[in-house]
Amino acid sequence: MNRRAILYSMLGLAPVAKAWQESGGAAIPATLGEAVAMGLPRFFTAAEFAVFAELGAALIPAYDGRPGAIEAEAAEFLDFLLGQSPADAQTLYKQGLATFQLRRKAGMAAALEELSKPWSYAGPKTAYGKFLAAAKVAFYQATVNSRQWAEAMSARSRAAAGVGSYWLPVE
Amino acid sequence: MAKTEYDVLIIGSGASGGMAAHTLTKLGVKCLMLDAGPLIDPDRQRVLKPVADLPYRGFGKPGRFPHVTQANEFNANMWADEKLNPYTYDPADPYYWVRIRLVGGKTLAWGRASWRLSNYEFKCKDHDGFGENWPISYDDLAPFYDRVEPMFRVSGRKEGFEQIPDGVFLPDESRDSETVTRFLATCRKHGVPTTKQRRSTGTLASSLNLLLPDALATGNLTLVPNAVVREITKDRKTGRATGAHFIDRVSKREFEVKAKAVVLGASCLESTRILLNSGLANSSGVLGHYLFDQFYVKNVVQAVVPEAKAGKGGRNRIGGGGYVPRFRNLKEKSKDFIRGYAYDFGSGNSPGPQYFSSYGEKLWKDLAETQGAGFSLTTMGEVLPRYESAVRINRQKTDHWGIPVLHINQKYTANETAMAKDSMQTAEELCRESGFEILSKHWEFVPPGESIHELGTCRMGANPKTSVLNGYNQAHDVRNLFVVDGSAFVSGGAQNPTLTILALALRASEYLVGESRKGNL
Ligand SMILES: Cc1cc2nc3c(=O)[nH]c(=O)nc-3n(C[C@H](O)[C@H](O)[C@H](O)COP(=O)(O)OP(=O)(O)OC[C@H]3O[C@@H](n4cnc5c(N)ncnc54)[C@H](O)[C@@H]3O)c2cc1C
Repeated sequence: MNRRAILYSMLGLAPVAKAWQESGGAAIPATLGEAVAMGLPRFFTAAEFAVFAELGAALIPAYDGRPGAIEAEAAEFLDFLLGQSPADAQTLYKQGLATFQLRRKAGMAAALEELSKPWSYAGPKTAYGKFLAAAKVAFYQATVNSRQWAEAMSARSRAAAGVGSYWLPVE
Repeated sequence: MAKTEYDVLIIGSGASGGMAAHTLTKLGVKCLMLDAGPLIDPDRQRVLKPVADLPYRGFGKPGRFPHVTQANEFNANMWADEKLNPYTYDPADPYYWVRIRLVGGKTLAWGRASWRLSNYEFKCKDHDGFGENWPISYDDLAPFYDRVEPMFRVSGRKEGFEQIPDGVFLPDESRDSETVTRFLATCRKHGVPTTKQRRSTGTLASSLNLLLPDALATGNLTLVPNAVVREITKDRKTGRATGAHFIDRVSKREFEVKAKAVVLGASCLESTRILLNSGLANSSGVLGHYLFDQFYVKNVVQAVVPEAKAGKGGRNRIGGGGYVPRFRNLKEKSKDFIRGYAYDFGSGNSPGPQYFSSYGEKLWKDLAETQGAGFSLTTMGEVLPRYESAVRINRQKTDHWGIPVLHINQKYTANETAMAKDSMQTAEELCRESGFEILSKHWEFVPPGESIHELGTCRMGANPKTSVLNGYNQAHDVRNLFVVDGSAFVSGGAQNPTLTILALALRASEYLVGESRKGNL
């Protein structure tokens, strides 16, 4: 039997979880579609978003059967996340994306040049470098944590679903 | 509620309060336990979920836990809410205070690493002249460690190392992978000691399932969840503690309880906050001072094991880890710093995308190449207890229940920095010589507090002028008041503190009963 099917049947059996999903859980969007339907503010303008999605595709492309940022709707998710993030994160992404758009004109490799520095604890020195480093990890994580990833990868390996033990809200 | 007078009021239900309840109730003492958090059943409180089904894809709601790096979207609801439970610090010196307010306290989540302290800690001043000795020695505590380890079913391997004394272990006879064997051989060559992890076993080695059920079964324990203690009350004439005022977490109604003695185990900084807010036990003026913890350099070195690359890992080749106890300043003296540090090391991890300077297809290839081939170490270093590292009450701010909050001031200094740098260099050398490729190295430690091993601020001592508690965790100023959590520590070494907290709480509780029977409280 499919592991995920077992999992969902377990979820169905957990009474607290069910109650939560039926009540308080509804206050937070469960899917992107829901978020959009709930009219939650988007972070980037439509024009910015197209550039952001292009960046995501360059950083985390689909590869060898793995979904990439596009397939995983990672840009849509990060846009939703950034809309609720603290001001410093918002500034980093707004300004970083503007710089990316400028440098993109000289080609993708030039625009992403700052990623080629070796790892350091403090991270890149420039704000743009920090933006690229943050965006790379964020696009990666949003991709491998997506439903599309779980579905594609569970066909390949049994350990790919990213299942964890979730703490329900304490009243 | 004020009608019944209990023998002992216990504040807090985590490691320290749980052990006090376990010990006292078995000796026939009628106890009332107050805990600020609700009583939950961890089995019903948690459900398995795929990360993709979480509203924030595992990223968590932004800004909810600025000081809890351990929080993720799966466990977010377990931690104490930062908005309801604020505290302050100088913006130049952030302090990361990590709290759980549930019955069982932080033992619901602890990593279960269980090490004994040694006379390198208890008699630290004798070794290098810095700080103070504890008023007790290793031999005083050893019999209590002997009893705590079986209760928590600590597994480990006996080694005869003076700096981490052996205990009563479930023997760990697991075999080491080739990778670990290679690292151990390098360490041996350089005189660096190594051993297996020492760890409480069982999926939930918590106060909630190991201590509280037995205590409740005696019929001597009344457990009141959702009771946020504001202050301990005292008799103005005798100066003795008489009970406490608490506030119901949900209704915010205020209550008073009475007891013949009070045992405080609300966790290191919460206990000190309660004492400061109560105006108790501070004739020495050192209450709140000498705050320390351990500094952590997380992944001080992240390496890759060449033989395990490209999916050639496999169970014999890589996997498992171990522990390097302190090896600096035991017999020979380091020139740059006093005291020492330990490492946790592990193998078989997969280095994350941040470690590679690639993106796109090249990044996917780098990740696939190193998947399961990682080897990494984390440094845990001794922090020197200093008078200037201190907490005080911030009169300008209160929590959700109107209780004045703590202002926390802790800075790491040159000794910690020198030690952290030494640990980076040593880890790098050990890895290189083992044939591992170094992916990253750094010495920068996490902010104070983040190791979740906060200690001191209510320290023991032989001299009532320079300490708050005596060698039995009993307040010098208030005979019927005992503080049994990590705030009592005088120094802490590099070892995770909870096993010692448990042993001290056991010892203090038995002493309390003895003194009470002699009419000395
Ligand atoms: C993720 C994690 C990993 C850890 N790993 C390890 C490890 O591997 N090894 C190790 O030794 N230690 C580890 N620790 C630390 C360990 O959990 C603590 O040292 C231990 O739980 C401390 O016990 P305590 O009784 O002092 O405090 P706690 O266990 O925190 O219990 C304190 C209790 O007091 C209650 N309380 C607080 N304020 C009030 C108030 N005003 N009124 C009433 N009640 C109050 C709280 O609700 C809580 O239940 C870890 C901790 C965490 C969170």
